[in-house]
Amino acid sequence: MIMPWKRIVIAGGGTAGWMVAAALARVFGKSGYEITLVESPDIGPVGVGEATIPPLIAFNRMLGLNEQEFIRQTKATFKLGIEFVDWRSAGERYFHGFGGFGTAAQGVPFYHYWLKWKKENPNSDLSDFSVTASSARSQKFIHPDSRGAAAIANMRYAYHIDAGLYASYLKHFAIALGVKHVQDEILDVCLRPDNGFIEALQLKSSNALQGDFFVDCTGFKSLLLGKALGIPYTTWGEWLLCDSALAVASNHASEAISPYTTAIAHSAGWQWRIPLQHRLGNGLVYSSSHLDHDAAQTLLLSRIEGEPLSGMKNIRFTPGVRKKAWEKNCLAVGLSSGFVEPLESTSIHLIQSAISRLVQLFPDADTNEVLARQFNRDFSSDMEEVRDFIILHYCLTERVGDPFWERCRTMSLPDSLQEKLELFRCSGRLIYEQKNVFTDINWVSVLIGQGVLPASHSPLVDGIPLRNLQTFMEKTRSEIAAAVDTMPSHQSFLARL
Amino acid sequence: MSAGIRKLVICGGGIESYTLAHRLKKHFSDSLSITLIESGNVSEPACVSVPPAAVNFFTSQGVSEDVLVGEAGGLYRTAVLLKSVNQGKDFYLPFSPPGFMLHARDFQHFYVWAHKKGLAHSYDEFSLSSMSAKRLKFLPASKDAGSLLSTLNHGYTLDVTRLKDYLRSKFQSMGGSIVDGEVSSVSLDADGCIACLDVHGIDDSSVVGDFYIDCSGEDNSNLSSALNASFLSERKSLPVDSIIRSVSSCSGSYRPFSSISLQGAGYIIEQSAQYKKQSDFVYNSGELSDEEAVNLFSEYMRTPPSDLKKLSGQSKRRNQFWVKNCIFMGASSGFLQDPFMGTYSLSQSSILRFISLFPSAKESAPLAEEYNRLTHLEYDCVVDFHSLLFRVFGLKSANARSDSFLGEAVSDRLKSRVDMFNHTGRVPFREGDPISQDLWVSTLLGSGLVPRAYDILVEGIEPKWIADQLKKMFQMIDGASAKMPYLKDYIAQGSAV
Ligand SMILES: Cc1cc2nc3c(=O)[nH]c(=O)nc-3n(C[C@H](O)[C@H](O)[C@H](O)COP(=O)(O)OP(=O)(O)OC[C@H]3O[C@@H](n4cnc5c(N)ncnc54)[C@H](O)[C@@H]3O)c2cc1C
Ligand SMILES: Cc1cc2nc3c(=O)[nH]c(=O)nc-3n(C[C@H](O)[C@H](O)[C@H](O)COP(=O)(O)OP(=O)(O)OC[C@H]3O[C@@H](n4cnc5c(N)ncnc54)[C@H](O)[C@@H]3O)c2cc1C
Repeated sequence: MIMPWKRIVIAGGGTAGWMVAAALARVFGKSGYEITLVESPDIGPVGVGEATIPPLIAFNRMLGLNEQEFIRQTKATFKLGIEFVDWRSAGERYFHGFGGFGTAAQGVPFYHYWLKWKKENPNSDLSDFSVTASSARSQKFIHPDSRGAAAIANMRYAYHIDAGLYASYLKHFAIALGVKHVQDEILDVCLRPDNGFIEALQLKSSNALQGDFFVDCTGFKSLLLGKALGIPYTTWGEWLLCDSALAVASNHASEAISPYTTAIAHSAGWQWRIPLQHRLGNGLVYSSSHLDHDAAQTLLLSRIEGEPLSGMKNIRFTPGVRKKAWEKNCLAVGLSSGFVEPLESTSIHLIQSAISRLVQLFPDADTNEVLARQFNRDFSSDMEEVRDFIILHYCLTERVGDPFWERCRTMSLPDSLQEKLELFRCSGRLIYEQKNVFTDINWVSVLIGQGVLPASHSPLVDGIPLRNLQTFMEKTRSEIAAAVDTMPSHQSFLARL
Repeated sequence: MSAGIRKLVICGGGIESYTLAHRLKKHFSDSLSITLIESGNVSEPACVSVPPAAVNFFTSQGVSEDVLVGEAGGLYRTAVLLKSVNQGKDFYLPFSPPGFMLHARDFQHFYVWAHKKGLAHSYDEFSLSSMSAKRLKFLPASKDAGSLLSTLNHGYTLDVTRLKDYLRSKFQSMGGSIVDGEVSSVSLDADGCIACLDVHGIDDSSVVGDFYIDCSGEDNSNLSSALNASFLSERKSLPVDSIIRSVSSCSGSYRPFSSISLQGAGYIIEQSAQYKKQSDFVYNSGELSDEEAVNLFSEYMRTPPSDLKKLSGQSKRRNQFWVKNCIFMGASSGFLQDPFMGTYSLSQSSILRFISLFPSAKESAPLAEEYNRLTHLEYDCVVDFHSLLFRVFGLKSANARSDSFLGEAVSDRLKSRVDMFNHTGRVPFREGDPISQDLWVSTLLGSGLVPRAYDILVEGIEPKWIADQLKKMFQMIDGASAKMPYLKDYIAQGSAV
């Protein structure tokens, strides 16, 4: 006989808390589970986190959200990828698009053909062969579901969302499905004396909130997992130097709304530009040991377009991860379980994958330990994957002069990343692994974008005579260009929704 | 070829050699010269069985089903019959997953739920491929995605000699060269790479290549001793070491399955292609003397002992599969007593891996390292799966006297997978696993291990509705399999067209 844990308590009402609440409410439906979310009316959410990656589409679909409605409610725009400016060196830019390159012939990934082609055509740009990057460059967008050229099927997209609006959208959704919403502050976490499990949350103005299973979404505070259960934090500061961020919204300075995020390197970190329907999100991410707060503020203000719409938000963080996300009857989701850094906008995705794992591995008293072990294993491997991918952007820089970038260029790397780089450099091949967050396309875009041209490509493409390769490459490029020509601009696509 | 491998030499003339040689010719045509060395001593099997992955493998090699099942005398295979496995009952391990998802949840959870409530059907009775196999019926998957028949899957039992002859003649017609003779010695260069092979034949010669593949079968070859390549034993996980074989011509009706049945301290595996039937008695010589084994087997087969052939069959794998400029493939890469996957299927995936990592220089250490890593990952999973099958049959190695279901000889990897199954009704994914989750689940449920838990979502659904759905499913599958043609008729019809 299974004795299910039916009282679920979610602590915290930021993006993580409401995503968990909405998903669990949807999955458990009317099966007798009781879901309560408690959030402090005084302590706000972190209030950033507006760029996403494509799997969010699947999350919204799982909830049953209508895409048009979602875009209207969250003032979202489409995101085809990220444009990186000045990362390799000042003046250089590249595009990391979500969609694939060209077409795979004979089962050989397209970029191998391009690598061979590049030897004969040194000016060729890989992003010309990506429909996603090409449409982004022209400020255009079309839905991959639309009928049209075959090349369009290779489009992949995500969204830029207003974080506050997304959380309140999910809040209405969750409450409508029966989630109980408590606005109160957690003062203490009560543990059971016999086994150290969480028994209840002591609230400021009402009774203690009892539960069987607790989800810690209290942000950087990590009140339950970190503070009450004492799970230590592993820091990744030796590789990830940025530890501070400033964020400010501004109004659009021009008509065009770009369908991508821009990430511009500066002397001690980087700056983001995230276009929403009604405003731009801007932020400066930096290393506080290389740039002081006031200088950072001045730098950001000098670099934003349009007028600032709000005061500047100031956030400190420590890149790293909790040793475990799930301990006893508590699972941390969101910032409370760790944070790598904002580059490549993975944090909301990690919330989402934690949720889908939790739904698959929902525990009861007997199974809890085995399930937690499995969860923690997957969680650590996701976090390390993200860590390596982000370090890649920094360590491949060719910038000289700034102490920050000097350190990035010369630091020793995690073994997992070092091996990956070696294999790619010598052979153009990527270590094959079951990846949960990024695919080979992501890695290749950044590696090649940052100027790593491998010593050789797959010998399989050498079977093709140069003349045929020429025809193949030109045909691919012109098909993509023709498809982009037929697309509407991103703005007019949004306006039509 | 860009940088290096212009000439490839394959040592051996078995099924593996020709599969590889033909495949490489297809990919590289004239840009790679391939020489194959074969000695006349053949002791190859009559039949090998391969899982559904082989369908794509052969299609992408340009070997159509008409050839495999027509010219080359193979047969379709949709299940593996495990004789008297769970309380004396037969279980057909199916290639297409049983049942359908309900409410976006896997079927197995509903099955487990119903089983606990006394459902009479066994798990395989919900699989179209098991039910059709049991009835000796066959159809390939339908292309119509809406049809029940689109869920079908099949592999083959292949006629080794016929298929080899076919591939051999194709290889020759594509310009591949074959040297008759035996590799008698190996010369190394200063880096310890193979420089050339001396061949003793009608005319003694020496064959030079940039890269070498050792497909010389099970016995330690000259190449492996020259390169000091050693084996790891898998005896602990797969506690059988001897084989007695009987080959007869096929009579009676065609069976779309292979079968495994427990006999004494071993098992008998029977597989038949169109013209040949092969039966192997695989046993543990520590528990059964050769004489006892011969008597047992000849009684079972009703053949005189003189028609039986004794082979050795220690389970082992290479420490390293790719050493310097040489890869060990086929039986020379190792040999697992794996009645389900088969060494030939493992080699098919090694061939694909080799092609995707094809080197462009004589020695390419990072590629070799990646190849070895991936090959071991795959072997790990296959060893685990078979080690589970062995436990299912109650075969334990002599030094593992334990009452637990799994016994001590089982790896931690396998223990944690079975644990997870027991606690969640799901088998966690493992990187590199060629065996699908569905097959793991079928094997576990088929062997009588009913997990204690299943997806909690099931609890929230109206019990009567689930019961009705299961009943309907069974009727549909039962009805559809009854209407399918007999394999015999299907084949006769095909060759008439
Ligand atoms: C600079 C920066 C940029 C980022 N950019 C991106 C991005 O582009 N894309 C992306 O995916 N992610 C991004 N992230 C991460 C993203 O912002 C977070 O993952 C996301 O907002 C989820 O936060 P959270 O819900 O875990 O925590 P928070 O938003 O901090 O929420 C914490 C909640 O806990 C509650 N709480 C705290 N203490 C108590 C208490 N004592 N009692 C009761 N309630 C309490 C608060 O009221 C609040 O509701 C970024 C993060 C940073 C720092
Ligand atoms: C009981 C049993 C059941 C099996 N069932 C299956 C199954 O169901 N599915 C499956 O996929 N696999 C199965 N296998 C494994 C399969 O039979 C082998 O993987 C496969 O036959 C090995 O082929 P090979 O080409 O590597 O080696 P071999 O067939 O042994 O060929 C080796 C070749 O190399 C030549 N050679 C050797 N030394 C030299 C030399 N010095 N110079 C030149 N030439 C040389 C030999 O003459 C021969 O031609 C089974 C094996 C056994 C024992």
